[in-house]
Amino acid sequence: MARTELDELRKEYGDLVAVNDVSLTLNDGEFLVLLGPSGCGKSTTLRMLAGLEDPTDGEILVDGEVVNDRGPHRRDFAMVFQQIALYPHMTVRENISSPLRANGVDKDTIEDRVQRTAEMLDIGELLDRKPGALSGGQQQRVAIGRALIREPRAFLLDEPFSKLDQKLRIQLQKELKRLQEEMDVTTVFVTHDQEEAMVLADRIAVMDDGELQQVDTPEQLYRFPANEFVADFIGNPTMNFFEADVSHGTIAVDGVPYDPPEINGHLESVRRMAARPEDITPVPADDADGLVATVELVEMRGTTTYLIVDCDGKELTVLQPDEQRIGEDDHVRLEFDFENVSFFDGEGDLVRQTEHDRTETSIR
Amino acid sequence: MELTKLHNYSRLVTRAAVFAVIGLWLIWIWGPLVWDFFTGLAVNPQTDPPQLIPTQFTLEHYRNVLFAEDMPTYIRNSVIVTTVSTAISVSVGALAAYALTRYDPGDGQVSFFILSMRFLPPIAVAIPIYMMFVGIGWINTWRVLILAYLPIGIPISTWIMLIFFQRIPKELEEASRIDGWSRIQTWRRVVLPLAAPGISSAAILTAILMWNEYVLALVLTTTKEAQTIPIYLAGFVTTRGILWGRMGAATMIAITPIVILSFLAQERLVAGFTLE
Repeated sequence: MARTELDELRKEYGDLVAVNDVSLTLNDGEFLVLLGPSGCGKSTTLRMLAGLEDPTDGEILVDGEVVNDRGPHRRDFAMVFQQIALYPHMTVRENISSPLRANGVDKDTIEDRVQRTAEMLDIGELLDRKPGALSGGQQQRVAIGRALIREPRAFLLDEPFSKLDQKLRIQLQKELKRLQEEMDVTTVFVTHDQEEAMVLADRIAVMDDGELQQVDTPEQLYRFPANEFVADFIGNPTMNFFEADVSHGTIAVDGVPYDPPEINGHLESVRRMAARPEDITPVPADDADGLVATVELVEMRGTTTYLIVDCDGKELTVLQPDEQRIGEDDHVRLEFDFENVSFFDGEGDLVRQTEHDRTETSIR
Repeated sequence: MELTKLHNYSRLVTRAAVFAVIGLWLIWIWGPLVWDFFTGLAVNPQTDPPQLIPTQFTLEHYRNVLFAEDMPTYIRNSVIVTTVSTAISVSVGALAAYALTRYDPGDGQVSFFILSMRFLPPIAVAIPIYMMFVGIGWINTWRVLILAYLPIGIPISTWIMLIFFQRIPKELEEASRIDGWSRIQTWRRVVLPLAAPGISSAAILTAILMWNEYVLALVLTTTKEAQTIPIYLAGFVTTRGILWGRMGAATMIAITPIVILSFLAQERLVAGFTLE
C-alpha cells in the first residue's frame, strides 16, 4: 500500500492560476473528497495526480518518490470520469479487462477477475454488450468496474455521478462507499456537491479559487469551518451570517447586543458570526432584547421544518422548535446558541473558542 | 368525410411532387451516364449527338479501347498516381487532423490555413509547377503528378478527418492511458478504430478527386508514359469529330474502379456521413 503526497502543487494556464500551491497527504485506505464550486481547481488537482495534466510547479510523491515525470500509464492509479469514457467499439468485457490486458496479465486470470468484478457490480449479464446498449447507470457501473478490476494504488473519481438522476446517484454512492471499505483502497473523489461529499468522505478537502481552504472530517467541517467560505459552502440550508462585535462580555449581533452566559477565548478580533439554522432559536416576540424577525415561509423537509424569516431585510433560515409551532407572519425574537456559532475575524478566518479546541487540527 | 378525401388528395399531390423532383434529379445525374452506356454499345453512333437508344448493339468499342488502343496504359498510370497520392494524403491528413484536434496552437487558424490552400484554382498553379519541374526534368512522370496532387489531397483529407477526430472524446484516450496503455498503443486501439469511418471517407473522396483530375495532368504530362484516364478520355474529341462509341466505352471503364470502391466502402461511407 502506498502513501501519496501532493507538495505545493501548482497549475497555471497563462495568467490564470488554476491550482495554487496545494499540499495534501492521502492516508492509506482513506476516502478523501475534493470539494468545491466549479472552477475551483479540484478536477485539475485530480488530473495532475493522475498524470493527465503537467503541474506548473510542485511535486507529486508516491512512497517518497517523485512521479511528476511518469505518464498516466505508469502511475498505477485507476480513474472514473464524469463523461464515463467507455470505449464504444469494445464490449463491456473488453472495457473492464482493458487495464489488465495493458499490463500483460494472463488470459485465465483476466477472465477470473472479470467474473469477480462483474459479480461485485452486478453487471454479469452485460459482459458481451457494447456500452451504447447500456443505460446511464449501467455504463457508470462498467466504468467503475474498469477501475476496480485492477487493485490500483488509488482510485480517482472525477464527479462520476453528476450526470445520473438522484435515485441512481444515491444508490451508486452507497455501493461505492461499501466497495471502498471492503477493498480498503485509497480513494480521491471530486465533487461540487457538498451533500455527496458528506455522505462519502472520511476526510473532505475544500477548495476555492485554486486554494485549499480546509481539510477535515465531515463533522469537523460542519461544526468548525475554518473560514467564511467553508462555512457558507458546507451545510444545507446554509449558515446565517451576521456582523458581530465582541466587547466586555457582550456580543453585538448586527448591532443588537446579546449577553451570552459564557464566552471563551480571545474574541476581540471577531467581526462576523455565522450560525446554523439549528443554532438559532426563534421565540415569540416579547419585551426582551434581541433581533426580531418576521416569518415569511414555513418549509417542511421531512422530519425537520425550517422557517424562512425576514430580519430587517435579511433572509435567515432557522429551525422550527419542537415545543411550539410558529406560523407564517408571526413575529419572533432570535436567540443564539453562542457555544456553537462560528466567529470570524476581519480576514474571514475562524476565531476559535478555546472550549472547542479539537484533537484534530484543521489545516489551511 | 369530404375533408378526409380532400386531405388524402392533397397528400397524394404532395407525394407526386416529391417523386417528380426526385425523378428529375435522377435523370439529371444518371442521364448522361445512361447515354454513355448505350453509346458505348451502339454499332455506329456517328450522328451528332448520338441517339440515346441505339438500334443495334456491339462490344466492338470496348474491344477497341481495351485491346487495340492503349487504355490499359492510362489505367495503370491513373491507378498508380491515385493510389500513391491518396495513401500519402490520408496518412499525412490523419496525423494532421489528429494533431489539430488535440494540440491546435493557433485556435483554428492552422486548420483554416490548410483549407485556404484549396482556394487557388489549379490552373493558377499548373504553369508555375510546370516551370519548376521542367528545370529538373520531372515533367511527364508519375512522381510529378503525385507531388502536384498532394497539395490538393492533404488539405481535403485533413478537413474531412478533422470532424471525425473532433468527435472522439479525449477522455477515451485519457481512460486508455490510465488503463496503462502507452500513447502509441492508445492511438492504435482507441483513436484509429473510432476514426475508421472518417479515414475511409477521406480516402474515397480523395481518390475520386485524384482519379478525375484533369487540369494538372494536362499540363504536367505529355505522353501516355504518364498521362492519366481523363486525358485519354478527352483525346476522343478530335479535329475530325468526336469518337462517340469509343468515348462511351472508355468512360464506362474509367468509372468502374471508383464505383466498385464506393460500393465496397459504402457501409463505412454512410456511417461516416451520418457521423455515427
